[in-house]
Amino acid sequence: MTELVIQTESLGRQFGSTHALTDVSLKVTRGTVMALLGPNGSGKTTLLKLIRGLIQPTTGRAMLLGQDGRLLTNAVTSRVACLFEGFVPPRTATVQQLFDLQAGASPKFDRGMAECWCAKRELPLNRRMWSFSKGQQRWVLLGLTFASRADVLLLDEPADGLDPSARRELYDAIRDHANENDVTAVVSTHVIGDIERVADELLLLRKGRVDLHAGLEELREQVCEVETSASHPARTWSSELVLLGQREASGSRLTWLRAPAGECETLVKRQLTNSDLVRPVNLETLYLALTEYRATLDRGEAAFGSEPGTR
Amino acid sequence: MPSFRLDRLLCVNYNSYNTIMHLQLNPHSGEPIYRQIVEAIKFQIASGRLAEGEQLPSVRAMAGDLKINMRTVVKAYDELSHAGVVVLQHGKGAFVTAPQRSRAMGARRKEIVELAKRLLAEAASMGASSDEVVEIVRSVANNMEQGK
Repeated sequence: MTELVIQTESLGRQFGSTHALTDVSLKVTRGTVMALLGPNGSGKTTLLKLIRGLIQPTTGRAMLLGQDGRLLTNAVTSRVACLFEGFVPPRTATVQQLFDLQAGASPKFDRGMAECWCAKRELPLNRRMWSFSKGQQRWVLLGLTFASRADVLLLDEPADGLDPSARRELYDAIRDHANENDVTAVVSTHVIGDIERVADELLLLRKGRVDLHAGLEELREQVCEVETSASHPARTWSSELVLLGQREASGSRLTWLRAPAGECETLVKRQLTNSDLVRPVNLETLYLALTEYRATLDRGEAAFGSEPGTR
Repeated sequence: MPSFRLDRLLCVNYNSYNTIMHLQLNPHSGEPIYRQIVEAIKFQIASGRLAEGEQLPSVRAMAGDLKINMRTVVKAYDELSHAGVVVLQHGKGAFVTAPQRSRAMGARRKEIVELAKRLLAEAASMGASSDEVVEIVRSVANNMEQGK
């Protein structure tokens, strides 16, 4: 049950003088759906490509299904399906012809599954790719990816170009594959609301480094938002709480806190006065709070007196 | 050789037919999902939609239906079992137990008083008077009895 599917050790990659990825150590167990988040240029695609062995690391190593990413054999690559930006299928090929191609390339290709996938969006199999919209083309590619019956899915912004209902079906399908076939999926995206629903773990990258790696259910328990009056000075929170972000707006101050060893709300309530409010935080708010706060700290705006040296 | 699986031929997912109970979860509320399941099932029992002795969906069916990890369902069922709301029978599933009348009345009352205190404190922080809270509790109870 807890077989390691992906493991990286101090993984890093430089492009010239740019550090695209630095010191990423990570373990992903079988059947996990991992949400890969981060601002543009934070290293999401680089990480996925390193795991799949499409590019080579400059430091450390990535292991996929027990094999080093530099020396993946066919036995491993045939169990992995990926979808990367910029993969354009032949424009003049019909859906049927793409299925034929894929069937030749991956022996486990499940044509029935791929046909059903296209039927869900009423895409005729005899149509040529150029006649589809961007989102429809994406849907066909996703069908090829799922129907290859891979054990590992590496999906780089798979929902790109899909309408909301197609996005929903895509994420439902990822969850179903994980639940029923123990498929492990790493999925990068900017649309946090969709992945929040089905993901087990969150990996947040920032400037090529891991900013946060945690289980989503644990995070829901550990993180909370506190609303206090902005006219009072910022509070010093107990040492069990980690400050994740802070912002002032329209007379109130919002503070996001994490209690790594327990329930955030319980800990926070000990320190609250009557006019303060504490509530749970969804992933999107947490993401924005973290990224904006770190960016503020980077710019050296010492606006937050209560935080002793996070960076 | 084509494999004639009915679900493939009809292009349906049998998961969608496992909807035994309708739980309203909000994956974007920030509240842990397992806790939302616990609350939703407790509510269904309190409102009479789930009767004593009734079986909860299997972990697999529930996870497939809600599109969540099976571990989350297991955690919710464990919590419900710990609270004495359901009993887990090995290899059979989870069954709704009888309301706990057997528990010492004093202890029961004490727990409910604690819950009421918490409710009043939370409501007060939102500026609600205790009369307003009592009125709301009464109307919620009425709605539950009518099975809304």
